[in-house]
Amino acid sequence: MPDTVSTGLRRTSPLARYWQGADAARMSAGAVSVEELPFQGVIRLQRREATSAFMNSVADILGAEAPVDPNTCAGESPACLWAAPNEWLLVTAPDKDRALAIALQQRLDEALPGETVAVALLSDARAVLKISGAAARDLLAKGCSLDLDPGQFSYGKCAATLLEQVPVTLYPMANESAYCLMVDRSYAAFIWDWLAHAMREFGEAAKSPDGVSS
Amino acid sequence: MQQIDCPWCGKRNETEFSCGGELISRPQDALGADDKAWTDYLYFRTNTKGVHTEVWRHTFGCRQWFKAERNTLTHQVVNTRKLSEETGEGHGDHG
Ligand SMILES: [Zn+2]
Repeated sequence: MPDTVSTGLRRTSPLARYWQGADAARMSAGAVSVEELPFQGVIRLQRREATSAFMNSVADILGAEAPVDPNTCAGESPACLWAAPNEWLLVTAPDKDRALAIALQQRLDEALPGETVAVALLSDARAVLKISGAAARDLLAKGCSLDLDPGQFSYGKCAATLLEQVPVTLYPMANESAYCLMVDRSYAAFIWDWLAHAMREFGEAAKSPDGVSS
Repeated sequence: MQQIDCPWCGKRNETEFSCGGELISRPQDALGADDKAWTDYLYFRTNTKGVHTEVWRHTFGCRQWFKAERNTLTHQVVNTRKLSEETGEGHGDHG
């Protein structure tokens, strides 16, 4: 389960106690499944002012423009999410985060010498979950006040909001009825347990998560 | 539950927001301001009965501060704007 990174430290999922051997945490009930996407890369990118030199440099590295409309996202791997004015979250595949952060930092240093830009690796501070299936929206709606109607919240949108009073970032994934949910590491087990309990009404559990009888 | 219209995110539940109190201005000349100016800034508020302007923050969303007009009798938030936008009717800026 633990993954060895270049530091030699063993990387451990915040949901390690729900893993089955080498398989990351997952559970399902009827038409909804929840799975951990372990060790996803998360990078926070910030600047006081998003000048065209900054935006162009970011686009060079990402291969797409960083979205400027609030609560929208672009791309898939990396996905680039608007987080606040002049602030974005980049979500990458495992082990792609460091290279991307370094490439961004180098490109921005060249383009904006001496200016302050924040490129922060948050990968180990977040748990990333995928919630999928026909009942995914109903499951999230039990703890989230966002309007999740596909007319309002479909692929290309994202939001920071509360799920069962826990701060989360949520976005619909491309081409499927699935959502990506990011939560701070220390809340991950609480959210997992809440989801396990909340999803029971949607059907028989295919695999019961540790510590929760179904 | 009341929804508040974040100038960036649109309408969200009130639980995502925090109130920063009445909109006030820090003394412009911090070193030259006398005790009365500092006391007014630190301790005194108009405590309006009715609609006045406050600063609110979308704490569990985009984390931005903005201006909101709120009716202190009904708690209804009636209008929101970015900090950079003008406040109507001249309320709030009594600092
Ligand atoms: Zn907002």
